[in-house]
Amino acid sequence: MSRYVLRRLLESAVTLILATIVVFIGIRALPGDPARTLAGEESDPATLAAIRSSYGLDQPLPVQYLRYVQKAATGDLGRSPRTGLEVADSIGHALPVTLQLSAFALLIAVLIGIGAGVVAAVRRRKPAEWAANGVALLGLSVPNFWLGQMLILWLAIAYPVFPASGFVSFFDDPAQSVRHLLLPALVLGSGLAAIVMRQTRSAMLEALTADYVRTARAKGLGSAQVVLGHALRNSLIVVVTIVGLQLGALISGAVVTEQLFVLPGFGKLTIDAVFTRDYPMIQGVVLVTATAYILINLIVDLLYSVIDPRIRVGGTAL
Amino acid sequence: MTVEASTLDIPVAVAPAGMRRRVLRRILRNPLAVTGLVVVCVAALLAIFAQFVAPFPYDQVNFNEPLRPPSGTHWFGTDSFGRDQFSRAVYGLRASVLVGLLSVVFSLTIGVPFGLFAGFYGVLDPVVSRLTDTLLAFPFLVLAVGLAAILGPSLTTAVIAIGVAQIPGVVRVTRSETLRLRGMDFVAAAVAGGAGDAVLLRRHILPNATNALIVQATVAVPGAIIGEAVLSFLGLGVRPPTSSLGIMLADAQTFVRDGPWMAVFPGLTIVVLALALNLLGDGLRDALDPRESRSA
Amino acid sequence: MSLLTVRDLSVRFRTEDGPVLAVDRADFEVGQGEVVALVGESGCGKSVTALALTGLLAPNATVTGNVDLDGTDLLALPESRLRNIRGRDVAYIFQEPMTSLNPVLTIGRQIGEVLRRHRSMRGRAVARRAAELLELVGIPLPQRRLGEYPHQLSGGMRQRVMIAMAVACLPRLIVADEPTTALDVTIQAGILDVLRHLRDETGTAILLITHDLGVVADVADRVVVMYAGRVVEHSNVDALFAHPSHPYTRGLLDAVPNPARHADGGLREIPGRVPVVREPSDACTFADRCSYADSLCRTQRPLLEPWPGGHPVRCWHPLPARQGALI
Repeated sequence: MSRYVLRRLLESAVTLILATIVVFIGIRALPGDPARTLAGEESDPATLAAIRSSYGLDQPLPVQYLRYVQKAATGDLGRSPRTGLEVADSIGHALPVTLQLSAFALLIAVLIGIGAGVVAAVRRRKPAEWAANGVALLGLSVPNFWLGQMLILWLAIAYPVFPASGFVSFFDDPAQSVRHLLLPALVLGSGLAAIVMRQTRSAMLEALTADYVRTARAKGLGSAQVVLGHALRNSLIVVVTIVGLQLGALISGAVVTEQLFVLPGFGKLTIDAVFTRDYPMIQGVVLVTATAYILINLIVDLLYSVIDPRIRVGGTAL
Repeated sequence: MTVEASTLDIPVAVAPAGMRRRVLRRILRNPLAVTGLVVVCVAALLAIFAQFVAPFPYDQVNFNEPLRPPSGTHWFGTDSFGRDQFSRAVYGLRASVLVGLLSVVFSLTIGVPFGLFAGFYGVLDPVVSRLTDTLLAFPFLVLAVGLAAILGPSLTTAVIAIGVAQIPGVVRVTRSETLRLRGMDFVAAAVAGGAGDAVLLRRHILPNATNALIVQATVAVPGAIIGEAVLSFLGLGVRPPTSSLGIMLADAQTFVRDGPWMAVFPGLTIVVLALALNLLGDGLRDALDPRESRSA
Repeated sequence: MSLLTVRDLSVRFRTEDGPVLAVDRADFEVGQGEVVALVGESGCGKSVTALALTGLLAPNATVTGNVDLDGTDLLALPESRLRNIRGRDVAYIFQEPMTSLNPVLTIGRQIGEVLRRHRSMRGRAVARRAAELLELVGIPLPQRRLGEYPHQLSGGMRQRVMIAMAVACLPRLIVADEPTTALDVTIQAGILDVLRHLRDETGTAILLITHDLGVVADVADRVVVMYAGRVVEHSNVDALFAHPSHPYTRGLLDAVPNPARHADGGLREIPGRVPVVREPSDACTFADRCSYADSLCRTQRPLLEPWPGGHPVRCWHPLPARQGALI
C-alpha cells in the first residue's frame, strides 16, 4: 500500500466527518424544537419524549453528535413520521433504481463522450469535428429536464415508442428495463457526455502533439495504434478525473430525471421528503448522498493509480 | 511539430490596456463569439426592460383564451390560465439573468479569498482543500434540497444554493492561478522590493488571475441559469406567481398533450441563452489564452 | 552508391504568421555504415530535415524533392508503405527521452511494439528479444526493466531504452536527433559509446543531428553543416575541423570553448540570430551575420560547390585554409 493510497484514505475520512457535522448541524439550524422537527408536525407528547431520549436531545451537542454518528453507522437513520417506515429501508428500496439509472447514463455518456472526443481530435478542422463540437455545446446548453420533456413529447406521446414513466429492474427483465430506462438515461447522461467529449478532445489534441506520439509514429505503428494505444491511453487519465468530478452533477441530474419520468428512486424520495417536511428522511438522503459521493471519489482516485503508473509505482508523481 | 523557433513569454506584472484591446479584437474576429455576445446583450436588455417589452402583464389571467397555440397576438401561445407565454418568458428571463449573475457574484465573493489564501499560504492549503471537498460532497440539488428545507423555497435560496455549489470551482481556479503566479519572476521582484503579502495579493496576483476568473465566471453563468430553471421546475426556487422559465416548464408538465408549446418555448429560450453564453465563454477563453486558441 | 541520398529537399510550413521555408533545397548523402553529423544552430532546419525523411512532419508541412533510400524514393511512397519503413529500415532516437517514451506503458511493451509490428513476433519471443536488446545497449537487469515504466529509470537509461527500441529491427539507418543534448555530460559519453558500438556491430548508418561539435568530433565520419534551411558545407570530419571553409562553420568552431585555440582567452560568438526564412531568396542567407559579405553575397545565391583543393561549400568567399587549426 503506497503513501498515496494512505493519504487519500485519510483525506476521505476527514471529509466524511466534516460532512456528517454539516448534516448534523443542518437539522438543528431549523427554527423550533428539533424533536418536533424530527417527529413531524402532528405528534403526541409521548412520541416527542421518545425521540428526545432516543436522540439524546437533552444532552450537550457533542454528545448528541456522537450518538447521531453511532446510530448512522449502524444503519439507524430514524423513522419517517410521514410513512412510518425506517428511513434506511426506504433508501434501500430506492437506491437500486437510481444506481441502475446512473450506471446506464454513465455508460452512455462515456461511450458517446470518448468516441466523439477522439473523432473530433483526429478529424481536426473537418466537418466531423464541427459536428461533434456543436453537439457537445448543445449538450451543455440544454437543461436536461427540458430535453426529457421534449423526448417524452416526441418519443412517448407523438410516437409512442418508449414508455413515459415506470421502472423495471434490469435483473428482472433486461429488455423491458432498457426500454424503460433508455430515455431517462439519455437525459441524465447528455450533459456528462458533452463534458466528457470536450475534455477528451482537448486531452487528445494535447496528447497527439506529444513527443511519445511522434516516437510511436516513428516506430511505424498504424494510426489506430498511435491514436488508441498511445494518445487515448494517456488522455484517459484526464477523462477519469472529469467523470469523478461530475458525479455530483450526475446525482443532481438523477433527482430531476426521476421526478420527470416518475421513477421510484432516490431522487424522487428526496424531493418528496422536502415537500412533506419529512426531516429524518431529508437528513438520511443527504447523509447517504454525501457518503456515497466521498466513497466513489475515493474509488475514482484509486482507479487513477491503475491507469497512471506514475502514481502506482514509485513516489515521484503527486 | 512546428518550426523550432520559439519565443519566451516574459511575464508582465499587470495586464495593460493594450492587451485588453487585443483580447477584444480577438473576440470580434470570432463570429461565434460575436453571435453569443449579441444574443447575451439582447437577453440582458429584454430582462432589464421587461415591463416595456412584454405585451401583457405576466400575471394577467384571461379565461377566454386558455391553451391557445402561438399566434400573432400570443407569440408563444397561452397557458391554461390564458396568460401570455411570451410575456411570462420575458419576465422569466429576468429571473434567470438575476439568479445567474447573483449566484456567480456570490461564489466569487467567497471563493476568491479562500483560493488566494490556499494558494499563497501553504499551511492553509489542506484546510481549504478539505472544506471544498466537503462542499463537493453535497451535490448541487441535494444542497438545494437541504437549503430549501431550512430557508424555504425562494429566489434567495436558489441564489445561495447555486452560488455555494460553484464555490469549489472558483476556489480551485483561484488557487491554481495563485500558485502559478507566486512562482513568477515579477512576484519575486516585488518581494525583493519589499512588498508585503497584502500588496502582493491585491496588486500582483489578483489582477493577473482575473483572466482565468473571467473565463470561469462566464462558464458558470449558463450553468447557474440552467440551475435556476431546474430548481424552479422542482419547486425549490422562485415561487409562483412570479414568472421564471423553470416555473413555466413545471406548469407545462401537466399539459404536455394539450399545450406542448408551453414546454417548447421557455425551454428554447433557456437553450438559446445558455448556448450564447457558452459560445461567448469559449470565445473569451480562446482570446485570453493564445496558447489554447492556436490548438483549438 | 550511398544508402541515403537526399536531393533538392525543401520543407515549407503554413503557419499563422505566414509561410516558413524551413529547409531550402538540401542535398546530402549517408553511406552504408557511415556516421554523418548534421550540424547547425537551433532553428536552422536540422530536425525538420530528419523528420521529413520518412514523412513524420505535421500536416501543415509540405515536403518536396527526393529522398532515396537504397533505390526507393521515400517521398513518393504512400503513408502505408512509409509505415513499413519507419522503425524497420529507418529508426529514430529523439532528444528528450522522458517525453519521447510513453509514460503509461512499460518499457517491455514499448520495445515489444516494434517487434510485433515489423517482426511479427508474439508472446514469449517478444519479451526475450526485448531483454536482449536492453542488454545490447548496456542496461543492467534487463528482465526486471521490461516491467518498469519510464519514470522509474534515469535519463541515461531512458535514452538507452530509446536506442534499444531503435535498433530492435536492425535498421539500415538510425536518425538520432540530438540524442545527448538533454543528458548530463558524464552520461553523454556512454550513450555515444553505445551508438558507436552499434554501428560497428550491426553496420547501421547513423544520421546524427546535433549542435554539439564535441560530439561530432567524437563519433562522426562526415559532417553536413546547415544554416537557415540550406546545406552550406559538407566534408569529412577531419577536413572540416582543419579547414572550415564557410564563415558560418568557422563561426561555429570559434564558439566552442578550446583552450588551445583561444590563447587570447576570448570565445567568439556569431552575432545575430538564425533568420526565419519565408521565401526562397537569391541572396546568401548568412550574409546579414557575415563579416565578409559584399553586394554579390546579398544578390546572388551561392552554389554548393567544391572550392579548388577543398570540399563543397556554399559561399562566394570561402575561407583559406588557416594555420594551426586544431580541435
